[in-house]
Amino acid sequence: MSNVRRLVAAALLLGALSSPACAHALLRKAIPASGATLQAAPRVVRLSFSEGVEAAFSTILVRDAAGVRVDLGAITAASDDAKTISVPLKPLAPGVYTVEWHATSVDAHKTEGHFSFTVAP
Amino acid sequence: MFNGALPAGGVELAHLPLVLARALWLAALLSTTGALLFRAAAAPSEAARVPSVRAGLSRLIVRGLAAAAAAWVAWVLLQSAAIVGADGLAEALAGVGTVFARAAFGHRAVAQAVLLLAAWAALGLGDGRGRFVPAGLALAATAVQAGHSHAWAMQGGPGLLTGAVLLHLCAAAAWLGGLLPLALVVRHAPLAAATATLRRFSRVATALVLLLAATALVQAVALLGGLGGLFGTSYGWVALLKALLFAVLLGIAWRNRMRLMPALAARGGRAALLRSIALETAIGLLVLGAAALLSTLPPGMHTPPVWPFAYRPRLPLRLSGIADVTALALALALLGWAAVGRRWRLPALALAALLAGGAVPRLGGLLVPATPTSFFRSETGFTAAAIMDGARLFAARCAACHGAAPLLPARLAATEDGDLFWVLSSGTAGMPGFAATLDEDARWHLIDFLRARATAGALPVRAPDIDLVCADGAIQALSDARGHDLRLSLRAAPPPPGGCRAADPDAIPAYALASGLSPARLSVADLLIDAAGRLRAVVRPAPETSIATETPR
Ligand code: HEC
Repeated sequence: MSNVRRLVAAALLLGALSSPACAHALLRKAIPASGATLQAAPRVVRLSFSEGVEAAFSTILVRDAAGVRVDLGAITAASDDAKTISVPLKPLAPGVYTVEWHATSVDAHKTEGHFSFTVAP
Repeated sequence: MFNGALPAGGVELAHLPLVLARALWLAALLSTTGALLFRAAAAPSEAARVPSVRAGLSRLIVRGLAAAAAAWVAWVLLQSAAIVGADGLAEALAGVGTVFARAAFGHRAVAQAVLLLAAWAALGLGDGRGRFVPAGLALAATAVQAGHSHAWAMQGGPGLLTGAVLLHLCAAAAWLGGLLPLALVVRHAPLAAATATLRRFSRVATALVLLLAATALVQAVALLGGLGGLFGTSYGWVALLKALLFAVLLGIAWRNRMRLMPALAARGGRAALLRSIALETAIGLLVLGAAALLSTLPPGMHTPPVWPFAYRPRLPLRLSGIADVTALALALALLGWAAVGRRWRLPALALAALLAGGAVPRLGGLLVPATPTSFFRSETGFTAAAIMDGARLFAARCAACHGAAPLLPARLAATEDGDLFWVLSSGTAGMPGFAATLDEDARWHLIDFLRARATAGALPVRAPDIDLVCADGAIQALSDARGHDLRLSLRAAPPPPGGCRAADPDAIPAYALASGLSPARLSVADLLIDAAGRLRAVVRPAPETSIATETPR
């Protein structure tokens, strides 16, 4: 009986595994990192992907705990690295911030994700 | 044998029109390019002077250009709609303008259209050297297609991989695109002229096929993500299918050259060769379909591969293992010879049995049990934050049992990350699975914690990654300095001019965990981190460096 249960559990688990997001430009590194606690307020959020991204068709939205936008909106591509985009931030007070990003890779596929970081008091 | 897992990274039905449009565009572009190249290269030959061949070629080229124009419109429309996220035709049409203006995809698509239009305008340049102009323009449009590839996106510009894609595209155009013109020659030219053209085409095709195989290999190594990606992702299976179709194409081409061409003069000889070329063209179209599908799927190396077999090869392969596998392959080849060969059939059979008899009993040692996640790789980057999150989770969720049943470092070291992930997800005898109660990140953080804790006590150890704050307010990751020897201080102090300091509250506890040294000692010492990102030594602080600085090697 418990064997059957284990098999069913394994099958369910496989179901969960075999439908990952169909992703092309995968987030390779975020600065600040996902879940990081920072002792100094960052001035920009910088995201690096596995593929080159189209800055004009990508967004990075940064919000404080109350949901108010704290980014300055203008996404820029790094001049020497087509896989990295960044957005400048307003001066941040201590608190929890969420980053929601949408990226279009230069081979024209879309991905998205979100994470949060904390600025320590 | 199979564990029932489906490959990762499936095809989304919504993308099917886009894949189809891309495949049609690719087919029209490559066949037109190939036909123009054929016309330019074959012009001096006798076959090309046959009026019906000339007229047929012209028709083929004009129709190919028209098909390319139609497919281009469909592809650009669907791709633009996908980029701007448009619903419906009106929004897609509006999106095309933005994509042309601001997306690299748009710039390249426009360049291709301009090149093909110029090729069309140059069609009348006559039979002299001028005939190479439209062929060159179309070849350039084909080369630009490499800019739409994963390779270009991953390398962020030109490079070895993109070069391989470019050569692959041009070789495919010259080979597959030459098939229909070849059929025209076989059909209309006098026997001697047709044979001469066939001979020449087959010589060129041999070189092209070798180029195709070599450039395919480069792409496979760079994009498939190894054995896991090959068998564990949709991308890998489509690549396998494409390789199989390519092998079939080679078989047909070989039969054309060795069997059908010598029999061209016989009754029905031309018809047989024409049928065979038609089949070759149809399978070539399937190959292009597979290629379009591949460029729409995420590459295997970017997809966590779900391993579909109950066993996997023991990696890295040992020499004796390679010998056994080679012996087995040889035995199979000999068996094949025994089945179809004309001479030496019995000796081949005997030798096959001998080789297989020696190798088969030892094959068991080449395989180890696998889990569906055997080839998963951690994406956490081994950060201090991940390790300390794992430490908190372990105290809350695991310590109750694992205080009494400690995890053996030797056993941990012998287990791949992916297999640990499976044990944590699905459980083992005496332990529940955590797939439902801990999210994937949490499970990976636990693995980072277990790995960090297991190494404590003997340097060097893998240095946890931390964020550094620099004097200008910029934040940098320690791993950005990979490739340089570093001297790092974890002391709390404002960053000195031009320098950086650790800005990570998890830094000291994570380094304490990984090295086994006390937090008190770490918070006053300097850490030496080598170019491979390992913590090599903990030394007394140099007075002038209260910061992370590069030390000259
Ligand atoms: C209910 C008690 C229990 C809990 C809770 C528990 N484990 Fe286990 N765990 C076990 C037992 C029993 C084994 C089997 C030990 C053996 O095979 O020697 C085991 C085995 C393991 C193994 C080794 C598997 C292998 O085959 O190498 C790992 C790794 C592990 N546990 C990690 C964890 C982690 C991480 C947690 C917390 C999320 C956890 N365990 C929670 C009881 C538990």
